[in-house]
Amino acid sequence: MTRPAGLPRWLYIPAAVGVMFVGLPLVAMGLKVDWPNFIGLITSPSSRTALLLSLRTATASTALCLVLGVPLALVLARSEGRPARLVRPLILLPLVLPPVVGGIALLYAFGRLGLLGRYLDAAGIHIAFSTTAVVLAQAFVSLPFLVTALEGAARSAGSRYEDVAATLGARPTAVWWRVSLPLLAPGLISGAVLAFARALGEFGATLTFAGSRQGVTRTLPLEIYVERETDVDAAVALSMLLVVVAAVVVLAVGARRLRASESQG
Amino acid sequence: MTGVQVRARVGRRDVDVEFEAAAGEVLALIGANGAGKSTVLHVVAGLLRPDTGSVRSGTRVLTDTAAGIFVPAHARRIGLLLQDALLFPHLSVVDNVAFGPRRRRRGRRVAHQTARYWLEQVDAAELADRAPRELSGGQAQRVAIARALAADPDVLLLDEPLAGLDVAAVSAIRTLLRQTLARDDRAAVLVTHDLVDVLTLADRVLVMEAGRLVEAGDAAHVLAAPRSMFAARIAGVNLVNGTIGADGALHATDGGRWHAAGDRLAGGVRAVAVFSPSAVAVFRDTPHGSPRNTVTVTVAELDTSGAGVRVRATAQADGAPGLAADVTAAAAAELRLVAGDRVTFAVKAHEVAIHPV
Repeated sequence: MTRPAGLPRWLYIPAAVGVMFVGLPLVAMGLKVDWPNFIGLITSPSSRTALLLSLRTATASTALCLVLGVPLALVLARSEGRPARLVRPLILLPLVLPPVVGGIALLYAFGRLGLLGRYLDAAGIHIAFSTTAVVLAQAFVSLPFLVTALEGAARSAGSRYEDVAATLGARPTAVWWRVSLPLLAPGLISGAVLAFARALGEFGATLTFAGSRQGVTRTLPLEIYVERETDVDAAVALSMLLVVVAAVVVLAVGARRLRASESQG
Repeated sequence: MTGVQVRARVGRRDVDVEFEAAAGEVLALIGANGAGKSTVLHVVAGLLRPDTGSVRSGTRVLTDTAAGIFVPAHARRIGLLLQDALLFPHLSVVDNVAFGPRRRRRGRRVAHQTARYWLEQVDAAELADRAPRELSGGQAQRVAIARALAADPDVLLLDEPLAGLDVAAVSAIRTLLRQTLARDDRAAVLVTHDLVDVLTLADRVLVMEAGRLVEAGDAAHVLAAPRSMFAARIAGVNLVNGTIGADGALHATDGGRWHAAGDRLAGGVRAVAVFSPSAVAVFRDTPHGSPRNTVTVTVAELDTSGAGVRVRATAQADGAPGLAADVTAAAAAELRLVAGDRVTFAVKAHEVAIHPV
């Protein structure tokens, strides 16, 4: 590796410490994994239940994010007015909010006595502490990932293709399906992958709003937290599994970004 | 077919214009950057609502702020061709061209037939199954022209369709536009910066300055006697009117012969020779040797122009503005030019472009 001209040598010391700071805990955990029994640990009945629940809820919340987030991102990307300026930071809020606070907020909106929840409750729909609550909690925290990824892509793409499509006789709905969405496919995929990864790792909001009922709301991160007390080996093995999933996601999105910038260049 | 009538005031961009283009007419809209040319096209295309004004295409009212009418862009039948081809990257070339016909509820097979017909018209039939990213700039613009025409617009708007193409592609696409625009009887509005586009493609020219139309007339007239600053500047190149002779050279009205490098036009065609003042060398005596275009002129005035001197000759025999030459200050000093001197202007053949008009 060659050293770029102009960077002082001492800069490489904190940079290397930074890499170790992120890498060392992962290595430490990897060393702690009981590799001979790894498969057994991650396929125990309780682990399997948690893993399947996590995959199901993360898929559902990603779908919910797509249904709500794609239109939202496009509307924000094409709006310049005051409402858009106010909505944008609001959507970003869950990104920086402690998830437990998000969970409490969701509870007061959709909980049995919540703002909306009391009417749903009267209609016989109980959301809090159900699998639906898990999906809502995950969607709440992962929506900003999808919206920001997609809004950036839509903004840099501009609306010129849509303008041309309109002059060719395409109605707004046809423009949306035939032009806007296909053009945004790369941003859509990386946004959805990021949202899925964030949903898979959701802990605080889920615990607060959905609780930790095995098979109903106890997702993989909650299972790890519970097992940490009783079965450290299982907790570490499941943690390793999440690390692998996260690594795959980062590599997939990163590779996409690289290819995208190459084809533009 | 239909012409287009436009009256629009857009306060935000300080644009206030009124003009019309008759059926079959190609109207060139020229002016400096930021003069509001693209704004005018957007108003016509229905991409921008004017504060007040109206747009009519034939008998159809597309915009009328007084009556609260605003037909959306997709229902206007007004085509738009931009500097960037903007082919949909996720569709093949033939699907791009079929996009318009498909939106008019044509079946897939019929739409593809229409698309292939228009691809043939622009000499791009062999590109049908390519992806847009596999095309050169010139090929992409050909396909974009086919796509715009396949949607069968009543009026075609062209916003600098030749800017950003390489030199070889420019002349090919210009020829293509000349053929397509001349052949059909739809109105077209062409925004351009290029004098040659105005001369070869337009019937009439509008000059826009700071959001207002400052000059209008047929192209040759506006350029021969520019009244607006922009027309004068765009006409800052040398223009010689004439007819192509049997030798392929342009025979000027004053008897001069102008040779250009490259493809020859057919004899008898009316044409103009165009060259830049900086391509002109000035001599006291007739130079010999290299194959050059030479003409003897009388110096009318000398002007400083940048670091050099602009030598302006007296008006040409047919009344067109006198030829200009840009020489360095040192050369001007050595020649000791004064108004009234007889000198020779010489231009290399490859610096001269000859265009049919």
